[in-house]
Amino acid sequence: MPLAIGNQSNTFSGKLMADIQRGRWFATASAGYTYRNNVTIDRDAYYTTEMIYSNEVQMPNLMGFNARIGYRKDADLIVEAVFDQMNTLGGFDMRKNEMPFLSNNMDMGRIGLNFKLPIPKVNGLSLLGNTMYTLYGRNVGRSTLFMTGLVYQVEFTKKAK
Amino acid sequence: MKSIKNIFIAIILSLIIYSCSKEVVSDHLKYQALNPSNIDTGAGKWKTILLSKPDEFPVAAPISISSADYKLELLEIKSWQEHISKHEQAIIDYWSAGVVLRWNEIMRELVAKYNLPPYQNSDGTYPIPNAGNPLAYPFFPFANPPYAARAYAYLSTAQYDALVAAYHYKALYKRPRPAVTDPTIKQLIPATKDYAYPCEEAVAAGASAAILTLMFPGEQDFIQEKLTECKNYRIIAGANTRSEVEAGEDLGKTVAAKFIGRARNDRAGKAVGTPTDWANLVASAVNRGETPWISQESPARPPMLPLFGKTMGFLLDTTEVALGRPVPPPSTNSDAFKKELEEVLFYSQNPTRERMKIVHFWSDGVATYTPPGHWNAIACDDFVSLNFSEVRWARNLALLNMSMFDAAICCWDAKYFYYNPRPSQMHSDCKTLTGLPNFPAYTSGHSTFSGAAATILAHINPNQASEYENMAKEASISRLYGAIHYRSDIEVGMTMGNAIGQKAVDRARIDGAE
Repeated sequence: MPLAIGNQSNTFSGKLMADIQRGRWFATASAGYTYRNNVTIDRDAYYTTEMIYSNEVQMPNLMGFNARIGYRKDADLIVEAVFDQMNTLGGFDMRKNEMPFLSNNMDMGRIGLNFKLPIPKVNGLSLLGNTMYTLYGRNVGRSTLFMTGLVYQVEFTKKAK
Repeated sequence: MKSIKNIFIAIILSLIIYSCSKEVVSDHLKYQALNPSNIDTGAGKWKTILLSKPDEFPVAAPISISSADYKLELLEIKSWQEHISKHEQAIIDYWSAGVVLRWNEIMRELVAKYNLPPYQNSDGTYPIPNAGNPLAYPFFPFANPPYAARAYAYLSTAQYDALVAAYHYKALYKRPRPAVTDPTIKQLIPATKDYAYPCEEAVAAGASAAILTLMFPGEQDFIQEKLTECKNYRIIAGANTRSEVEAGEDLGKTVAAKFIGRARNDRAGKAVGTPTDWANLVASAVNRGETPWISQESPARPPMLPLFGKTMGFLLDTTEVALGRPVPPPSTNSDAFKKELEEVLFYSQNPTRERMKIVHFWSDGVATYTPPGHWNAIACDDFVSLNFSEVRWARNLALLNMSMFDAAICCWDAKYFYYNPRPSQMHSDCKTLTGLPNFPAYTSGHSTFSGAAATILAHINPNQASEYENMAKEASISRLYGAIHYRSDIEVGMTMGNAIGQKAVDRARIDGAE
């Protein structure tokens, strides 16, 4: 499950990123590839689309794409729209009423909004927010995500003004 | 800068090479070609299971080796052997490990594929798979543990009786192998000095394909493809001619038809029961003053195969099943019950890595070959190194699978006679650590299957007796560690399983093979 922690697969990722900025407006696009090592499970056989007699599971690699456009003023104010896509390269489909498996074919595309707003009068404090909506998917749950938080930045060195 | 570029390319290349090696090769594809240490020429006299005698079904004498037709058949072998493609070589490598073994594996694969409980209807009821329309959802069958135990048993017993018949006719007709009648033919698999007619591998294949078609009617294309492959393997390998293979297939199918007739009337088809049956089970437990089992699925699912205990087994008849029914579990109102529930609660709340490993290893739940399948896999892996003849392979698997089929019957009889609730039904803090089966607790299916399997396997392969016993104990306790069974479920289940396995041992001692 690419979105879960703890499947014990060692991974190796590479990412390419491009960013352009015009005044306070920006656009960023990135694409990444994650190689995932095979994992071992506590069983001696399992069924994917055929019976495999081994405790080793072949993990499909991952490909990801991310694009954002938004408005950025210094590091304090950021508002951006995000499109995020993830695909496993291979894997197999869950059947009706079947349990998920480590090497399922999992794809998803999501759109969302991120912001970071400075809170007036308190220096270093800002409000964070994030929402993501799943547009489409394969062998993944459809979820809508909301997140908010407060960040307070403690400065140990004086800024040279 | 150039060296950085080179390093980068090297990393990418090594990653690509490394990712090619990611493919997982199943251990069972690494088996060597079967080369029996004893060819069991006298197996035509072994005790059959359903056949009244080995020659109950006639097999016509083979065509003469001096006939023009036979010479044409030799030409067919030669033309195959002129150029053996990679695919054909792969077929030889696969099937030469043993035909009884491979058909057992094929059944395990189909059990795993079909072991999915039907999804609920929109009104909260559950659809029941229909053998008359296997490819419409819910697919037929739902290959749950009792269904699987029965399927494995019919496969192995039909293979065994068909092979005993085959060995009878082999000894009768004494047909030499193609490589003996024509020394220019190469036999590409280990040469055994036995006879070629009827082809025993085709006998086993014909019987297997017929039973698999009965049990998995939606898989006829797949089964037919495997059957053709298996028959061609004998011819390409130069071990049999076409008419030897065809006669074998016919015999296998004829013998299997007798088993299919039995299966159609063994009462398993009625094991699902009716809503009245389900209500009666609850009422009966309430009348005895006990808390009845309740499905904890959402929506509540009818209990799995409540009348399976009435199915006709191979080793015990229905009267013996009722007579051998275990004593009642601790009453749900008793202190003994509370104590057992507390023990389950402890395991539920204190999982360790070591215990969870055991729970996972033996879970054998949805989309697996079930506990009887796991024991078939364990047995086959050991049998491979013991170099049994095909007929001895079938005999040993028949003993194993008859005992697990009867274990399923006795266990299901007890489950629905007592209708005992699961720990998680009786205590809301008792979180299950593995899939919760949708049927009553007493006795544990894993324990009953494993007790039966370990007992008969210890008899067949005494060198591994203590390993089998330890595996059975581990499979059994895994259900307590998983917080879905009480201690009495697993202990009584194991004792009952051992007794059923002993019935198979009693048969093994007098079937003529020892």
